[in-house]
Amino acid sequence: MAELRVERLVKLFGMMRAVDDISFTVGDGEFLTLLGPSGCGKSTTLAAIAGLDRSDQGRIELGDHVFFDGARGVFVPPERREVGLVFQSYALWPHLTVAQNLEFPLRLRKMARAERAERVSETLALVEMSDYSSRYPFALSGGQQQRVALARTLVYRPNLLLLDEPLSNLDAKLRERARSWLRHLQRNLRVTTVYVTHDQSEALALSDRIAVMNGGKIVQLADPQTIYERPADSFVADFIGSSNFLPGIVAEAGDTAVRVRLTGLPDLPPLVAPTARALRTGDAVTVAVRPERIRIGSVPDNPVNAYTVTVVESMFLGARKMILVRAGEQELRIEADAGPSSGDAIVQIPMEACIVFPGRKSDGGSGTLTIGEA
Amino acid sequence: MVSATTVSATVAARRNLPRFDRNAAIQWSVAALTLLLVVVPLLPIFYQAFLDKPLYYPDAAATLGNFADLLGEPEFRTVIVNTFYFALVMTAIAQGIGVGCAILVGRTDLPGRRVFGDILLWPLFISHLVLAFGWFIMFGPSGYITLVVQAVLDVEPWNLYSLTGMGVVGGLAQVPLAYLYCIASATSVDASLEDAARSAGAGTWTVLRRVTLPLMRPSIIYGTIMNFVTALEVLSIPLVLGGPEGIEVFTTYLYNRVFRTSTPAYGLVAAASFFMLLLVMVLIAMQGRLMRDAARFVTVGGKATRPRAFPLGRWRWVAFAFMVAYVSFAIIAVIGGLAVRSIVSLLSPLVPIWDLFTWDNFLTIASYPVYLRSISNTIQISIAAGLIGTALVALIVLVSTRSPFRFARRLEYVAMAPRAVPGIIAGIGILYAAALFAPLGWLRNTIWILVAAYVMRYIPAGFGAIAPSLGQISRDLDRGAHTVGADWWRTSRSILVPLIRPALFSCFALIFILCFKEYVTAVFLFAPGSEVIGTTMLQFWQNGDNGPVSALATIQVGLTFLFVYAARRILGVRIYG
Repeated sequence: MAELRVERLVKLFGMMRAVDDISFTVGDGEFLTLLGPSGCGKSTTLAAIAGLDRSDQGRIELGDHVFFDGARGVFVPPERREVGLVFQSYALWPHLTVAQNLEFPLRLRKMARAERAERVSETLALVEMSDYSSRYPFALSGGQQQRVALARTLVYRPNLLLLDEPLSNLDAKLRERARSWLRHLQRNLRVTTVYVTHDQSEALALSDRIAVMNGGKIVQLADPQTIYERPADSFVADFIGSSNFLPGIVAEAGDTAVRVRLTGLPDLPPLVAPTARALRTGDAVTVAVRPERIRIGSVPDNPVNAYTVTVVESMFLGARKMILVRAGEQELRIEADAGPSSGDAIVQIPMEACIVFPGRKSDGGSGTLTIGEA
Repeated sequence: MVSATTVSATVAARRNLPRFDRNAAIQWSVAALTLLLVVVPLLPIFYQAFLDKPLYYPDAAATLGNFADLLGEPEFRTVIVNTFYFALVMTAIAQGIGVGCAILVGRTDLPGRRVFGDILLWPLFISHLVLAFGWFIMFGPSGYITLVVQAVLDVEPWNLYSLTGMGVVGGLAQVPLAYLYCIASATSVDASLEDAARSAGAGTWTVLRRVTLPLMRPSIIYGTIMNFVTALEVLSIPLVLGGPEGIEVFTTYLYNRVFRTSTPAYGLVAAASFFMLLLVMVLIAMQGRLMRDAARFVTVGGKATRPRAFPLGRWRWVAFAFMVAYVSFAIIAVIGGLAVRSIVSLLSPLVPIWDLFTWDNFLTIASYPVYLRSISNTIQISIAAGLIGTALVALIVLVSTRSPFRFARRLEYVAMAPRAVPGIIAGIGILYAAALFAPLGWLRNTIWILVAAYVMRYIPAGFGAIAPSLGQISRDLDRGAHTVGADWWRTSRSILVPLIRPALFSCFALIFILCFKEYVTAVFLFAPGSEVIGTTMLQFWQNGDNGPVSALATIQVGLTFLFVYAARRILGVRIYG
């Protein structure tokens, strides 16, 4: 198989830089996800790799096959790229049966009839759709259409598999099943895959690595665990999972940790947080804390970062509870198994749960406090 | 599953394909052919308009004299005044009755509205020439109905041989077009907009006046301009009804300058054509501008809501009586009158019809090969133009809306340009072109010059039949085909064309019908051997043979209805909505 290299890709829509100088490499057999809110440039990047859109600058190559080179004016049309793309809409041809949909790419490759039939049935078996080969697409459910769409791209054994939000049209239950099925299939085939989604849980579950995109740029490229635990900036911290953002001023800066005096809480002891950044006393910072990392009620002896707060609201979410608490101007969302519904309580923010970003969340301009944008 | 060697082998093989790009070759050919078809009739007119001698004279020199001559002619000024008066009357009548019918049929509880809706469209399938003869036979100075009314009232009830008379006939002939443009918007008005007005306290008339009609405004404006342009272009009605009194409008002025003078005034005709072309282009451009912000009026949302019918109450039967009168006098009497006239030797209220029954009119047609040939030519031309036109329009739509062709948008503009070229101008233009370019002269005496002219004329109509249907097909379907390895041409053939097959049938049926009734362009281009029904009818009429004219018209109408019926049953195509 092959390695995909995207170098300094730029795509302009008028004055807007839809894709703004991005570079990444997808290793042979790797599953890379482009994740971001709508309009972040992820689908444009995918279209550029597939050849459906011509980019303005940069270079795309798969193995030794140069797909696009802005500097040398090379542009290989999509039909010559040997790339498979699964569309969000599935794009199954409505006038052809399932088997004919799969056969079309093989006919284009002038494959003999017997071989075509064998390849079609083999691929349908792979996606567990053998019984539906003579059906027309409109007679299939969404989940079945999605499998046929995948089979249609796998049938000619592309060198690169591209998936454009393939699960977003399925209902929630089916999506979870399709997710694990897709992951299993990709691991078995070891086909180099680029997956586009705005759904962070899909990205975390499926990917070897995730490239989080915002405003046409890649803001962080790392494995799912790193992305979740050590987001590179407040946008990532906000977009992946959800976070509390606590504004404050650095009261004391050390080599590996800082003390942050939280805005509006001059009387309380500063928050201790680890950091690798060079911060100085007096810097404005934001501390991000995931709601599920905050302890409430049962607090260890001699705790760091323990505060007395007032419970504002408590919501039952099924498996867990969402508790909204307040201390002065600061509000915290806490996700816990159990906790008080009203009155005062003690919360503790473990040091290792704090991530410090320089500046204020709101003036960074990247992202908002809404979580899981559609 | 994947074997690395076979994959890289196929990649290598596909990468080494020859450099010849068939997609670009096809796209450029389609664009070039379209441009040629559209430009060939226009350039000779522009050229001739600025020459002092016929354009085939080698010593012809550039001049502006033609325009000076044209404007200097006092009768030309009369012609302009006549033309505008005629067009205004025609447009007002067509729009007034057409919009009224659309609301009555589309939005009220009018009894029998489905049947009326069908009959209202009939005149669209029939040429203005046939309608003009029908009006002449029934409502002309010695027409059947005129004489009946005159006998009762003892005065001449109306004068069809006048500008107003011509305008009324033209208007009634164009009611279907106004109706057609409005009926779609009348029935697709979002019911919730009217319900909102009603719940705010508006009564039936207020809702109609303040909500429904304003929402139909784009269709009304569109239809008004279309009908005004048609009024400028129509030849037969002024020729048949204005001719006897010597009333000239633009088209008959051109016609008479080409055919009725011993020395055809090439420069004058070209200058006048140039002028008319400019006028129509301005109108069409205006229409385009007005339609640009039509999105304001788009009321079709995601939900399909069927608008409520307005109850007419006690006006129900008044409206019904109006519709019956309109349909019987303006449609059934006119078409039926021709049919009756074709089987009698004389049509007069003074003599019982059965006393004058005869097959002679049809026998006359059967006995002359020229007449039979005009029928078979018409059928052949319509089939050929339908097939070639559909193929060409399908290619134009595929290139202009679904290909990476550099001039895709411009190709669409060029393809729509014939909308602004009246049939009479196309006829004169191709006539001049044939005089100028020798290879076209070779086509001159065959039906193929008419096929080419008709195909050019009806590219826009065909475009309108195919483009919306292709537009509804998700682009992901072609993108999908590209990513699995199909180039543009293969995608077009294997994916897109099969998906728009119903639209291709509609396109064929539409072009067939339009060509079957076309006569204006042919008037200037036919030659012995390439006569069509329309030109033969005009010849009969000029000889005063009203019987054979009626017989030929009846044959044309009969064949038309046969075709429309067959298209509906066999191809499942409804021409016009």
